[in-house]
Amino acid sequence: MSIQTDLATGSNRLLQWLLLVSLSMLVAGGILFLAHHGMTWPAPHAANHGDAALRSIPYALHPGSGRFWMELGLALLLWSPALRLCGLLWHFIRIGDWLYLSMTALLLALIVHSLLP
Amino acid sequence: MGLLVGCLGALTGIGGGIILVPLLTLLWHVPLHAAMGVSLIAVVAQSTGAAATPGRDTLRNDRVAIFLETGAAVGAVIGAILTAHAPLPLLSILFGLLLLFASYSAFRKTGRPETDAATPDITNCDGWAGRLQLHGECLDRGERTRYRAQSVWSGWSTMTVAGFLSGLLGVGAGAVKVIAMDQIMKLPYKVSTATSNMIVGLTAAAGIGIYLKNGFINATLATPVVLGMVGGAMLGTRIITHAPVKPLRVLFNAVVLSFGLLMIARGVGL
Repeated sequence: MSIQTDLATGSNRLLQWLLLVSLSMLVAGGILFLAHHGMTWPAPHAANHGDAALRSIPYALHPGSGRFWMELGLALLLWSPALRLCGLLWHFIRIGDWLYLSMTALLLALIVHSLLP
Repeated sequence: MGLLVGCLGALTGIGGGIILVPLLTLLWHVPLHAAMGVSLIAVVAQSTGAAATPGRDTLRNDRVAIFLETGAAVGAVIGAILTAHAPLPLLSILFGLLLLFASYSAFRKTGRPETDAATPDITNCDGWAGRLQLHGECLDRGERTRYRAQSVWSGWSTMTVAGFLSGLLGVGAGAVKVIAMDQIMKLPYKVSTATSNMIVGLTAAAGIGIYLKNGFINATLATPVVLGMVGGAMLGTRIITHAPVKPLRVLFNAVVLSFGLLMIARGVGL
């Protein structure tokens, strides 16, 4: 198996798991939220200036709350492009392509900086 | 609603975000910034979902994706910074214009064959394509085609504009990105769409941090929409062989056009 195919298969499998875990968290969070809020969901138009709590999961919310799991699921999903870049970074290291290694590292730094608090 | 948008997006080829934002704002009266934040999350989810499907991204060119993303990411960050300060009516008008462009672009695509009409000319190419190794081979329906990018910096500049629109309006701007690769850089159409799928996710991730900082992301709004869109995309991919895709594309195109006009009307205060 070539390096490229090897990388693509490994990366696909990792992304499949990541997607499955994050979607499961969203479903679990949704169910917990409904259970704790008398089976009612906030109206969409009430989403004015939503919370930025995706950044403060470990500090602000209790793991037993539905919102905690929804926010964790969304955060995992948002980190998936960074994971794809890590895979490409590894690929460019293996083939010794320093130009694209530098560009990928730069992009990864930008995305990580954007997503970190 | 997410289910419907995801399903229609998979059937018609028009990205989810571009239809999600007007649906949320015009029908459900969700504030524009909150709708754009949800849309960006949906773009990342769709891009990751497509990448996680085995065999979907074998045509992707990683070097083209990384090179073009350097421009798109910077554009996305600038767009996302500006979106917090731009007047809402202006954003609404710009979104309407983008919808009109997407509708026009999809209308032109209808009737166009999925494969490329001619093998790209690999002898007449941009010198930068050689220096940056922007070439490759793709296997399509058993036939191996070699290709090499042209007009590299024009493609990069268009991609920077696409990134800017993505950050400013909270969409994937896939239509503009495919134009940059397919029509400007003369890459094979299928390579362009597969590469664009990766770039839209990376660009959205680059801009989304600014949306988070500004408090435009709401988990209780995003969760059902993202779940619906992923489910709808899976459903759409399964039923695409049985569904009447062409009439659906025409109908969906008309809806996109109407939403574009409505967003512009809303922006100018009609």
